[in-house]
Amino acid sequence: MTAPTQSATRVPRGTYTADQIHSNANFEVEHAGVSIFRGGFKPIEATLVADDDRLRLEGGVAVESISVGDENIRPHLLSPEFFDAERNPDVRFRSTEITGSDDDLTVTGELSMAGFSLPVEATGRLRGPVPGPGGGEKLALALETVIDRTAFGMNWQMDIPGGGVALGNDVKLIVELELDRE
Amino acid sequence: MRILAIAGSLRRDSHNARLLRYVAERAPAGVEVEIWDGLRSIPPYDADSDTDLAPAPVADLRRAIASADALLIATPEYNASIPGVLKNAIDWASRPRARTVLQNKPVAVIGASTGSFGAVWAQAELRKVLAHTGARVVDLDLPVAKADDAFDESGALHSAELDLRCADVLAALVDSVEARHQPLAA
Repeated sequence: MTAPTQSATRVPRGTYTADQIHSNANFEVEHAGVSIFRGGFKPIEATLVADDDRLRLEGGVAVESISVGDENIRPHLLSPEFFDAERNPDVRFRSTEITGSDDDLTVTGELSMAGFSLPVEATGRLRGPVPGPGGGEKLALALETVIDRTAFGMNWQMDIPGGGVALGNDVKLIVELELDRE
Repeated sequence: MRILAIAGSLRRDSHNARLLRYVAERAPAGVEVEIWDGLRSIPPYDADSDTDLAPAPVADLRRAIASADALLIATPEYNASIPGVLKNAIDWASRPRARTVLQNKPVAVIGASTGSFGAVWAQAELRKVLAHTGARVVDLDLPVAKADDAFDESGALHSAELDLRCADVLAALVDSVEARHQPLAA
């Protein structure tokens, strides 16, 4: 087994911040046992710092920015049964280690949400830098992970007549960042 | 701090109204419990009437909830669940869902029944309904069973245990109000 490549070795030193237009933070969760319920947050605040020997990623979204395409479901998600946005207005992530490179990237860190801070590990890809259309340099970072919403205290559930439950516990988080070098 | 108290029974000598009066008298310093008696005036929920111009009694209810720091609801139990009139009032208060006055509102549920279980099922159902509306529901109950004999002539609860639990519920409700704008420990 070979040691993972430190991706920092190929990212030019600097601080890279998320371009709002081309960055997304979305989630997917099973609905009714058969389909996928999707939502997302915008804007996304994220910064990737490349030092000589490592990368650090930090970012977050405002819970109030959640969008699920339904004006009745949204306030339920903001309520104490889910995010409790009044007491926990933000979702935050801070990396502890980034290893690998290109299409084989692993990011570990701490996800803070709904009053809980828990370790998570995401995998994905890092591409660039490429010249930006308006000058400067761009990186693209895409990450996915699956969390158990009940570990973050989001225990709401309803039984479906005939069997099964309304909402899955596993939630896929999908973050796609286009990052501009400062 | 002001707590709006709602009894889920319309009966003149309602045990739940009596329970609320008892709780109101026991409120700690700085906490005022106002008993709301407009339940009878709330019309049956009708989505056709659920417009920006709500029926006057509904508007009054929404204003009363909005201006209170917290809600305390005492429910009887009808057929193992919540009385229709109470559910009806909550359904009105929960609308429109995107800006309901119940969102984040601290609420505690208590209950009295003449049976042996003190309206525990109605209380559990009511907590479920309120949580769904977005309210901040205290995870305690207060089951006053055999309500015909639960109070003395002055309206006080005979049971010292229930009396203590009453204080616990009130304290938890006050805590919930005070914690509203404090971040949860991460």
